[in-house]
Amino acid sequence: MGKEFLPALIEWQKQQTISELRECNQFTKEYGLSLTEQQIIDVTERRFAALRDTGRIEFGQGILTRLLKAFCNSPYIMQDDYEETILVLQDCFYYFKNESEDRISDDELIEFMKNRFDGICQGSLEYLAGTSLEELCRNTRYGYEVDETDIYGRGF
Amino acid sequence: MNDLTPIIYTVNDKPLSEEEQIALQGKLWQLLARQTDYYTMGCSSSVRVEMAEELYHSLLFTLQEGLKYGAFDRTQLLAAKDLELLLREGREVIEKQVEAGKRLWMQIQQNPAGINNISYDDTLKGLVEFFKRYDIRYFAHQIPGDIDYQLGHHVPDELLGIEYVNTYLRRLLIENSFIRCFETDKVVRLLQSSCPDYCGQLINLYEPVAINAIGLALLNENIYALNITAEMKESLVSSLQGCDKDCLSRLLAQSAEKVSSLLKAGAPAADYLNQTAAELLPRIELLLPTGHLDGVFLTFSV
Repeated sequence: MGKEFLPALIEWQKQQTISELRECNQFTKEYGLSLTEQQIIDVTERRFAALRDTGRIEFGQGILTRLLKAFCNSPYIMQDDYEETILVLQDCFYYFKNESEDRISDDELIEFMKNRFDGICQGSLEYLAGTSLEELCRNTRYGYEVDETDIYGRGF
Repeated sequence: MNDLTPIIYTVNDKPLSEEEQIALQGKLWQLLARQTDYYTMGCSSSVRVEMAEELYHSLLFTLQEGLKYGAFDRTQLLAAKDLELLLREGREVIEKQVEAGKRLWMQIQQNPAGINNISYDDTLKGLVEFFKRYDIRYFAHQIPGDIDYQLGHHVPDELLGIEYVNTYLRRLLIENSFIRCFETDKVVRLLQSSCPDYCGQLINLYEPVAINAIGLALLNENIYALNITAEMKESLVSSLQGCDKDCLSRLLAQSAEKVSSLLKAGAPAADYLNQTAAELLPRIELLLPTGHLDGVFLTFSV
């Protein structure tokens, strides 16, 4: 792809993302979570940094608003750490999308992340990234079954 | 290089203005976004950059083919609000080319070179793979199949997908038809002189035959003999030594025409042979001062 292609496309997408995040704020406010204008810009910038770092390109709405809508009802996310949590979740998403060799759909990965984050991880982003997602991707690549139960065999 | 280069190249009668390029680029992004969505079946909003590049090149190639073969014109390309319809028309052009390619492959099967060569056989099998695996929808610019056999005149690397393959097949058909004009036994003896393991090596079967036929025509000898003896080479050297570049070029072209006429070759085959003759010129020019043309024309060794 030509040198001029990506920067121009990214600039166009940034504007799209910013307006989408503003709209998304209306939805997440019901859960006591919202991003300021500066936070929206920071999250948007981080989206493209994450895409660049993981060598990916995204079209359409992207994953950000879907992540926000999926995680806004989590009992482990507070307004104070909302932005930081979203940034880490976003990084994790693209990283593990690559690690799973694109064999997991967006919805499946978000659902898995949310279940683990609210379940076994109890809101720990380190646990989510370091164990649960690594395990998911390893299993996706090598075909092992994901055990989503605790030591008593109960689901989270 | 600008991303629109392939399309501009096709409509180079009037290059696109900057506004036209920006407008077209926007439509190409939308098309790429939709294509990516189809490719991931809506399951992933992002893909690896490498994958996006492949999808994008496929779109450009398909639109380029549509333009080139008149499925739509430059005005329609620039006026279209959505390129989806034009893309479909481009795909139809490519589908027709694939059918033409399959017919060419069948013709080659019916007109084989008649000489054993592993890379030739493997390439024909590789072309079967190509037609099985060629993906018009997402990777129309790719060539999924091994094409190892070297042609006398290489297909330009700028050609992509089915266009590359069809050009390759047309050239292979010309080469096969040329080789078949001569007795197999003589062709084999000639090939053995240039490469004892002509069956196993990655060599072109046509070139030695064409060059010796041109050489024999230069000497006014029987081209079907295919053998240029040491005496004939000496005679060639002495007759060519006084010639300048223009004269040499003219003599080679005349010889190529003579061979084409004797073999009743069609226009594409005659052009192909002319090209072979033209490429001989620098080699002969280089060797003439040494008094030997052994590296160009071959003498039967068995």
